[in-house]
Amino acid sequence: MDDPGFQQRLADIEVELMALEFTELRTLATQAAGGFPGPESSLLKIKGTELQQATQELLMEIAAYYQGVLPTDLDPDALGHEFAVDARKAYMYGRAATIYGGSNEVQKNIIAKYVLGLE
Amino acid sequence: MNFDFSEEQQMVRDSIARFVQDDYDWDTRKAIVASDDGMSRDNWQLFAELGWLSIPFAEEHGGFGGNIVDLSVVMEELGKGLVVEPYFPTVVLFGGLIARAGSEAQRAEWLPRIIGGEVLGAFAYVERQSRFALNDCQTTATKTGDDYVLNGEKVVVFNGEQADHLVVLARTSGEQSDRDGLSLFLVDAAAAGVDKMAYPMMDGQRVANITLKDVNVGADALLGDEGGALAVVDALTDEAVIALAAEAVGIMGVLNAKTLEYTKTREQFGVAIGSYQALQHRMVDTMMAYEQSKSLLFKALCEYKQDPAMAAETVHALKVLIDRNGKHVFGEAIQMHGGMGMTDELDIGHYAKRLMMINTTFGDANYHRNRFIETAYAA
Repeated sequence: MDDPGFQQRLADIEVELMALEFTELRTLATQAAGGFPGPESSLLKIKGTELQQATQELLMEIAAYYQGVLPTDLDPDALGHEFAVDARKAYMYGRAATIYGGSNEVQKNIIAKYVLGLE
Repeated sequence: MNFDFSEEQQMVRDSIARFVQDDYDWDTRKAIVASDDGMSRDNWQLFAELGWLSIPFAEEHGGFGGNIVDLSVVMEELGKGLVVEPYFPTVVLFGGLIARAGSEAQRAEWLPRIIGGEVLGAFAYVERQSRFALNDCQTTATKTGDDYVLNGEKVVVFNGEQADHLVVLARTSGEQSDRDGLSLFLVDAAAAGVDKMAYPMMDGQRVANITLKDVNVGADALLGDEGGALAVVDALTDEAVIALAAEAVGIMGVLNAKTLEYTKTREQFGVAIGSYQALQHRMVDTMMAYEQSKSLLFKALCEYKQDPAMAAETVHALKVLIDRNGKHVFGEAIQMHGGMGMTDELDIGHYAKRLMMINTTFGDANYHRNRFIETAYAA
């Protein structure tokens, strides 16, 4: 945690998360005012899943050599690591987040077409 | 400059490629990974017969007398097949340490046995708290008379489940993170006081946590100078990083080829997805990531072959680039294969998992970026 390189990347994620929170709030405000959530929900999906993956990647890095451990009945004490197995699962499942629910490529097509008016 | 491989290197490359193609198809590998041993001893004997286990060792011990380029050719081809038999732990690490640090008697005793496929080895160096700091070592070796008594625990020991013998990094003097006072010991994995707890990893490897409780070894088990192991291990690390980078380059090449093929055949909205410019540009990026990685690998090989000390800076750079480009390549391979890319049935995800383990072995990008800064920008 006290590694400057690690802190920089953590901060980069944090900065984008702060912005994401307010993109989300803007969407909600539009809805609350009686409007319909527009194409900005595509933005939420793209940025949200990218940041999710970036966070999961950092957790894997913290687990270092342990990041590859598959689930077994070994207890974390014997293994020597608390969260490596969960970090790996989250990371692997997290790969799907940019694919499902309309892949991020499809989301970008939506923004290009309906927000930017590119045909 | 000439970057061509020699005729001999081409022969080794072809021989491994043929093995992977004919005898190591995806179902065969899956069955081997799921088997009790997690590896095939028949394959190991075959590797010995074909001379692959002899590549980095001197001719006087029955070796091929190969250099770093020969080794990287082997690693690249094994990488393409995701071969799980423990070449890296046994030949590169265990054998590499004996070849570097061993006395004439130790080399004469062990290297022919490794080359002949008679012994599987492992290097036990990671501890719970150590991450990538090799000097952070709590395992102790206490001299009693002529013998040493080892106590401590090593974790995530590659090939720890199957290894017959281990080289253990232990502290003979000094404090936990001192750079001096570390020593290497040859330890029989079946010796009294050695206890192993094995578990599988996502890349198909079997590893183990190994505890040492009052393990008694003779003076002849000491590998190299007492207290001076870190220099040996650091030097081995450079070679190991180059070997792993070669394996990673092999894997990236396979991932790109498979993904390219997929984007040319998979149709969406009535056309091949590869016809979309957005994806074409991304395929170009992954191709560049592969070529870039290969170039830096070649630079490291050229320098290391001339003088290992010359390669120090490049080795750190290489590990940084392999990590970054590896993630890029496997990330795009999974994304472009869509949901299929993650499934256990398709091999894409397994290549990705091996790249992830390569990235963390002997230090990830963050670690090596810091080492690079120290080496390259030192006042």
